[in-house]
This record gives sequence, C-alpha cells and structure tokens, in this order.
Amino acid sequence: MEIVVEILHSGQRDARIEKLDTNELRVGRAWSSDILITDPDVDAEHLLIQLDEEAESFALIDLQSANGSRHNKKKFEGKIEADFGDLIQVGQTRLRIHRMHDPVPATKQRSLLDHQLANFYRPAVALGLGASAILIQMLDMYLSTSRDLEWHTALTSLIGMTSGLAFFALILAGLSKLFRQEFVYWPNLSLAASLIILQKLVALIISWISINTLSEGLDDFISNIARAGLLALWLIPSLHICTPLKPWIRNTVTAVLVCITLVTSYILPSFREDLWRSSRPQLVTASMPASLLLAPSMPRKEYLALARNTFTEADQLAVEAREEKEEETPESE
Amino acid sequence: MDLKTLCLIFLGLMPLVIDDVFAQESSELPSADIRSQPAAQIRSRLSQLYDQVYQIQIIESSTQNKSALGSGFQVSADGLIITNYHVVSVLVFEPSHHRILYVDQNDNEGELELIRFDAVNDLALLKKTELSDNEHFLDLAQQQPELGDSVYSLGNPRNVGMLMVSGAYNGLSDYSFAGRILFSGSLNPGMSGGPSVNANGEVIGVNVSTAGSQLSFLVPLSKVEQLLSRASTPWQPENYLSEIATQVRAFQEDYFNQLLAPEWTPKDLGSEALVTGELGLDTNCWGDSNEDDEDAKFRILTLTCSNSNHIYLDRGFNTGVLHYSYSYREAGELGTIRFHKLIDGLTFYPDNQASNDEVTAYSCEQQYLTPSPEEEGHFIQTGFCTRAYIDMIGLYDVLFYSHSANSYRSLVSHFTLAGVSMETAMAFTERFMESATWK
Repeated sequence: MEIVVEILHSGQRDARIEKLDTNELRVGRAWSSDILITDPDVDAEHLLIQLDEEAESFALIDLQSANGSRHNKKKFEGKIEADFGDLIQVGQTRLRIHRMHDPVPATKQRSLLDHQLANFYRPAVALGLGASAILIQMLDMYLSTSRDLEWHTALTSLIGMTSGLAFFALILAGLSKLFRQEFVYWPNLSLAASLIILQKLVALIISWISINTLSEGLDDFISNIARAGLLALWLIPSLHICTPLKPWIRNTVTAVLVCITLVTSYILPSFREDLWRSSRPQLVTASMPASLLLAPSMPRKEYLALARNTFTEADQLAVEAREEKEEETPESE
Repeated sequence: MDLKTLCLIFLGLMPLVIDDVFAQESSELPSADIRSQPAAQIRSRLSQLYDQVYQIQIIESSTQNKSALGSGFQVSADGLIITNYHVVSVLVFEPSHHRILYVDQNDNEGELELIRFDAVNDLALLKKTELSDNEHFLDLAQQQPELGDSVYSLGNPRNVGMLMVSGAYNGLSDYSFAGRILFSGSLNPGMSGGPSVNANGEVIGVNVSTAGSQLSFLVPLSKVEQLLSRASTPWQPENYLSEIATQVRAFQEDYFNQLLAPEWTPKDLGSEALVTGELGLDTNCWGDSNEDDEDAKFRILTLTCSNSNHIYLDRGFNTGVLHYSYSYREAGELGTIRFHKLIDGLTFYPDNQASNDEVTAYSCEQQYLTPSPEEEGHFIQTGFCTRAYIDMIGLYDVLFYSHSANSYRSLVSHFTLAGVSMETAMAFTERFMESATWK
C-alpha cells in the first residue's frame, strides 16, 4: 500500500510526502509519531489514522486531543470514516491523504481578474498604493492649511502616515492569521492603503451629506462606529498573538471585548438622550462644489417661511420634554 | 473688551473661600467728599445699619444644607426683605425642595417666604413669617446720589461676616438696557442682595454683580420701588417659571422694539462688503483683522458685536444675550480650492448657557438662497436653528448664519438671540439678512 500524506502547514503549500507500510499512522507532536507535526496546538498524541486492508478507505480516531480534530472542517470526537482527498485538520495544521496513483486535481486556469488580484499582492502595487495614500494625506494637508506647508510639518505627517500604514498592515496581518489565511505582508499593505484612500473619499462624501441633510448625530454615529471598529481591530490580533490562551477562549474574549466596545461607545450613548440632544447645532458652512452639485436654491421669502417652521418643531420637542418630566415626577405639585 | 460681558460674576453663588483680601477691609471711611459731615458721625450712623442687613440662606430640604448664600435687607416694619433674584433662583426653580432663612448679626435665624421677584432686574422680595415686637428697617433714599458721592455697600461676602465696602457713585451704566448703577467699589460673592447706602444710611441701590477689581454694579432704587409698589397687589403666578417667561418676554419686546425702530446704518467691511455695526442701546462692537500678519496668505476682517443683557435665570442657565458678527475673507494667494477649504466647515454655537433640562434640542433649517442682484455670482448658504424653553412657553433661543461666497471672497454673517418670542426673532432675522450684503 502506498499513500501520500500532504501537509498544508498553516497555508504554506510545501507538502511533505510520506510513504508508509503500516496500517496505523500516529499524528502528533511526540517524537514517536509517524507524522510529526510541530504545531503548538497539536497534542503529543493527537490523531490516529487507521487504514483498512485493501486501502480502499480509512478511519480517523481523535485521541481525546485538547484542541480537537476536524474532518472536512467539522469537528469530531472518537472514530469516524473518511475518504481519500478529504481535508483533515489537527491544531492549525491541515492534512490530506491520497493514494499514490491518484491523479493530482487539475487547477483552474486563471482569469484576467485573477491575474489582477494576484498583482494586488505584489510589492510594487502595495508600495504604489501606500505612496498614493501618503500623497492624498499630504494633498489634504496642503489644501486644508491657509499657510505655507513647512517641511517639518510635512515630515511629521509623512512619518505619521507611514507608521500608521505599517501599523494598519500589521493589524491586518494579525487578522488574516486569525482567520487562517495566508500570512503575507504585501496584500495587507495594499489593503491598508486602499482602506485609507477609501476612508478619505467616504469622509468627503459624508461631509457633503451632512452639510445637506443636517442630520444631527450622524457624525457621532460614524465616529463611534469607527472607534469601536478600530479598537476591535487592535484587540483581536494582539490577543491572538500575545496570549497563550486556547483558541476558543481567545475568540470568546475577543468577541466579548468587541461587544463591550460597541456597547460602551455606541449603543449605550444612544440611550443617553442628552448625548444626542447636542446643545451645539450642526450648522456647518458648505464648500462651493457641494453647493453647486447638490443644492437647489430658494428665494429669501420662502426660506423665512421655512425658518418659522423650526419654532413649531421646537414647540413639539418642548411638549414632549414636559410630558417626560411629568412622568418622572408624578407626585410633584 | 467688554468687561461686563466677559466677567459678569454673580455674587451670591460662589464657594465659601476665605480670601486674604478681606483682611484689608478697613472701617476707615473716606470723608473728603461727604458734605460737611465728620467721618466719626457717618461711621456711627452706618454702623447701626448692620442690624437691618441679613444673610440670606437657601436651604436644600433633603440635606438641610445651604445651597445658596446672599445678603438682604429689611425695608418695612411688616418684615419685607429685599435681595437679588439670583440669590433665590434655586428656590424659584425647585420650590418644593428649598426654603429660605435669614440670619442676623446676632446669629438669630428666621423663616422667609418668597413674595415676588423680578428676574430681569435681578430682585426678589421676601417676607418674614414671624415678626418681633421691634422690627428695624432701612429707609430708602428720597433722591439719587450725585456723581462721585460716596456709597457704602453692605453684605456678608463669602460667609466671613457682615462688612461694609466703600466706593463712589458713577451714575447709570451706558451699556445696560435694564439699568445698572456703576459703583467703583469691590463687591464680593455673598454680598449680592445687600444694600448700598449713602452717607445718611439710606438705600440707593442693591448690590448685584461685579466686573472685576473696583468695578461693580448696583440695581437702582427705582426698580426696588417698582417691586415694592406691586407687593400689595395679589400675585398668584401659575408657577414661577411661567412668571419668568412673562417678565423676560415683556423686557425683550421693549428692547427689540427699540433696537428695530431706527434704520440700521450700513458700515464698510473690507471695502467690498456692507454690514451693520453698533445698533445703539447697549450694543458694543469690536473689530479685528490679519492685516498685520505678514505670513498670511489670505485676508480676513471681522466685526463682532454683542449686547450686555445677561439675564440670569438659574445656575448654568441665562438668557437675554444678543450676539452678532460678520467676517469678510479674501482668497489672496490661496487660490480657489484652498480658499474654499478654509471657509468650509465653519461652525456656530449659542452664546447663552442652558442645559437639556431647560431647553429643547435645536431644530434647524439650512438652505441655499437665490442670490439677489448685488449677490450675483455668489452662492448663499443660510442656516437657522431654534430651541424652545421647556418650562417657559413662548421663549426661544435662535441661531442664524448666512454665508455668501464666490471663488475669491466670502462674507459670513451670524447672530444668536436668547430668550425671544417667535415674532421678535423673525423680525430681527429679516432685518439682519438685509443688513449684510455686497457693495
């Protein structure tokens, strides 16, 4: 009987081939293992692969491992039947068992889109996008100041932006590790840069929208969501990388922390009415393009009539506030 | 800057901090300008006044502790006592949780009841619930003092004990529509509501506020007399807060009628824009520009105006403020895009204090206006926000701005009004919108 064990270790596709003559294969971190895997999440004796006489099929027996074993992504305990080519996972390491003479499945031809996506990973693209993000930041800074851009201000911004990008990329790397994706730096830098460019564009659009709709609290809403998101981004990989906890504990703790972040920074404040009832109205003057693109204009008389309506609205709010007060103090005189 | 606007400190509500300044307080009274009266004679007369001046304490019912302190003085044999409205405002806002006590020179205490108040003139009339056999009271002066006459203010600053501060009478302040006497003496927190007397010991005004060292304000006697004359007529306001609303509305209506009656004179701003400067009464304007900034790449000129009507209602809650300003900007070397980044996102805030318990959130209307012939080629963006006073029905705060700009110049005009009716606000808005334009 000749079989091949393909080891897809943490996504690195360098397969290790084993020819074997026994019916039982021990998978684990012990030196005595038939298939030795140095994954920290794998037990000394983790899994037993039991082949039948004709080598037509085989069974998997989980040896009560701490982190469990998975068959075709489903966790199992005890003994189950498996087929050749099925995906087996112990710890973070994935394996496939093939018969020696089975053909290697043909890979799909890459489409043009695939090629482009693949290019997205390339250092040149990543660096280009990173540079664009930095340039957009510098341009934004130049446009936002009414003075000459001084070299030390520009340098500070440049350094800040670069380290920000690197930090962001590292966070994404941690995230991708968490989700068992390939641990590659360049696509993460690309993604980070793209997100920053996207964020600049979204910020512009939001400022236009908020100018034209005056939606009170929109800014708060967005900044709270962004804050929660950033905290979560920071927490997940740092917990993942820095703690010796078991994956399910890590994931639970992360989930709880993300929930707490969201609740404290957004959901709770939304219940605290006074934070929404800002004493500062969001009256903001608009830029020329916003006015030209988005706003129809009206005669002064018509506007004054609209302005009168705000009194009715304010009266309505006052009525509601009085009713609320009465409910709160029913015993008052 | 307008000291009074900036530094108006209400005297009754400060923490009890003993300040060394009071150690210097001297009983030596200046005698040079008191016509032919020897100092000793005045001193002995004035020292008798202490018996008629009380410390007024507002007691919070649940803790039985002081929640506000001030001074007050008795003006009649039937136990009527005058103090400041701002001394008793906590009771006005929460009558069921507070009571008023007086404490005299000999530490005798007694209950007081609130008979009447005048929030606009910052006066309150209290009455002793129990009278003794021998009630002392201060006489009110029959005539106004003359400029430069000595005035003595009595009160109990910062709970250190009753004392007297001397200074000169400087007539009515030009920049007070409500009418305030300028007194060149140092009033201190806790002296609020105490009497200011002439050399004969007759009341000429009531201590009310200070704008810093040796610059203080008194409520004139005429306002006290008005309040006393109404004391005998029956008064049963539905509740205190709607009574405040009535008083503020009446005052503001009078004020804005006078403000809007004359034509507003156009004034140059940056040689291209026309705006309105001081509107008379108690309005005051200040100008600024960046002309002397050599690094400036654009030009900005501002004109900021406000009145001095700050009607105190309660802690953290005031009204009566009118504030308006204009800013003219020119792109200069900035170029259109950078210029528009500069004028983009200006924000505007209210100029009076009020909490969410007292006023609603703002309701706003923001639109682009069709340019008038003078404004051809400009875009005009206008915002108007209103918030209502929750318990003072019919009073509103209003916040307005209008921004007229093209590729190289911009004019922002902005005002806030506090404690006005809708009609007053709309009349003012209409006039204000016409007042700022291009030449």
